[in-house]
Amino acid sequence: MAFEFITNGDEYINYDSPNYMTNYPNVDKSTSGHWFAFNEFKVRYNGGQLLGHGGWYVKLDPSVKPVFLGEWSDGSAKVEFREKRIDDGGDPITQWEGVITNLSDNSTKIENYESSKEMRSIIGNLTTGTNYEDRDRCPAVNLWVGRSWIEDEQETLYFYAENSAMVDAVAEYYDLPQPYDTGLKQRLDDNPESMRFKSYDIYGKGEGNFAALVVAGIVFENKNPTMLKIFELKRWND
Amino acid sequence: MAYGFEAKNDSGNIIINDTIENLHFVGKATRGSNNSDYGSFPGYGGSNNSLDGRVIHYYTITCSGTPVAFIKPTDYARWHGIIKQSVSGTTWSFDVMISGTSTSNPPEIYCFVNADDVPSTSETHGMIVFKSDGTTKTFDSRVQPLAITGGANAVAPSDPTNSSGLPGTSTGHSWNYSSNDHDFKCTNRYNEYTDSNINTSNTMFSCPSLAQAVYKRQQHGYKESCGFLGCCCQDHHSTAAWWVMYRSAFRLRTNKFDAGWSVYAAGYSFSSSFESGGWFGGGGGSYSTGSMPYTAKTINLQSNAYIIADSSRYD
Repeated sequence: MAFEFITNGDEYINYDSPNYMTNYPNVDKSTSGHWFAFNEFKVRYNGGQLLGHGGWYVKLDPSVKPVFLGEWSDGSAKVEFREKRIDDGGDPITQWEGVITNLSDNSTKIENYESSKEMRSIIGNLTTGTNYEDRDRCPAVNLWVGRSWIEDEQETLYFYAENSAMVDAVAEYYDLPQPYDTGLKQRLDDNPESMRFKSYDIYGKGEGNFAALVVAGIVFENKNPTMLKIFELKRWND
Repeated sequence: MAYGFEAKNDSGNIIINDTIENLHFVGKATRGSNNSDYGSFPGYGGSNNSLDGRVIHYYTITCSGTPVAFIKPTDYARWHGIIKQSVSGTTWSFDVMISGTSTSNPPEIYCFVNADDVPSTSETHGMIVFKSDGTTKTFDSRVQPLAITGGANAVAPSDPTNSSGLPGTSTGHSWNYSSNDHDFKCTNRYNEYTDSNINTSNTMFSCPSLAQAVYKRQQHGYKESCGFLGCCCQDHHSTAAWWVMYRSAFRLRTNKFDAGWSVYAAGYSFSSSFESGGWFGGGGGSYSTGSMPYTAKTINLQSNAYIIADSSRYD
């Protein structure tokens, strides 16, 4: 079962499930109407603890729109991402927002996203935006990729986690626990592609030489760093 | 002619009589603020980023009648055009656009109105020509009548950009491709007209800036990533678009009147989207290209009369 706390969580099928569409298009009829993972994600913090997980889920019926869903591991909340177009005031790169639902009272709040100036320049030759120079930025980071915020609650600065030495330096700078365990730390150094968010031409080396952008984030509450987390995105063929 | 006075030029054309309203100098417009921009595409940092820039200087003058404005360049190398003329009460406003981004060397605007609209003068000598009503003036030599020294018809070329042709839209680019390949500068695009009366010391001109053009380059990028056994593919879209709006503008050179273009406004937009989103998956996927106020084209491109005069007569 993909989700423990989301309603009908057993209708979401992850890669490791025996009911995953391994024999596609000959899928088991009993689960053929379920949601299948296209991408899976995990968010880890505090020595590799799982903060939340979820994924992008599709149905085999192409007329059904996919969903982008996750839940907090403590059962406190779920998040569903939805498109926020640039025409509607959205960001040119991060064209989405997260709708976070508190599972105890069903109240919702929005997590907003924006890309950094440097990321916009790398991806789209844009010169707009900011690199958050007015924030407390760890000097070990080379590329701040963006930020998210929940009004009156918290802000997260995201950076390109190039290797474990950088992530460790960030943890030390903010006096926060490292986000991974030994295994994930090794994977970041040995096979960052396996957990990348996307591949981008970060170093300007041209097509075929894109860098695997692994994303980590520092959460701030009242400008105080409270959490260092790292994101694993898993694809079916990883 | 039952009354009045008539003067003709060497070609037999009437210069002064009781029905033709001659223009007379009413003053120079007062320059106010300015707005400088578009030396490059706003928000863009890639190739072919340069534009010619423009400064809009705002002028006003208070007078009776409808003034005809002449532009006397201070920097004759720049392109000039009056892009807007409006009135509130008896105060007239002129938006004068010149190429480049330097706010130095703004032009002077000489204004002319009908003889009857010129404030009265204490000068006691001269010649006044009245209409048949005997009170309305068509000419008054005491208040600096306009002496036209040259003129003809001029039109800007239909294509305003240094790169020829409409830049258009192309597809098939890689995802996030955003490299402008069209030179939107317009300095090399003009038609020149020979006029031996033009110099770059005193000559001023009047010519309406009516023609407008909007040009756009748009690039669509795409990438597809498919899931298990080709099931359920992930679309990645990107759109990069550069657009420039031009107004016709004019330049004086020794013995030359040039009709060309100047950038009025420009923009760059970029959108990168994909199915998925959030740092760990999440909504998004459709894409839009945005929209310009106009489709790419040139309008009001007509041959217009220009007239030139010697500004030093009115200093």
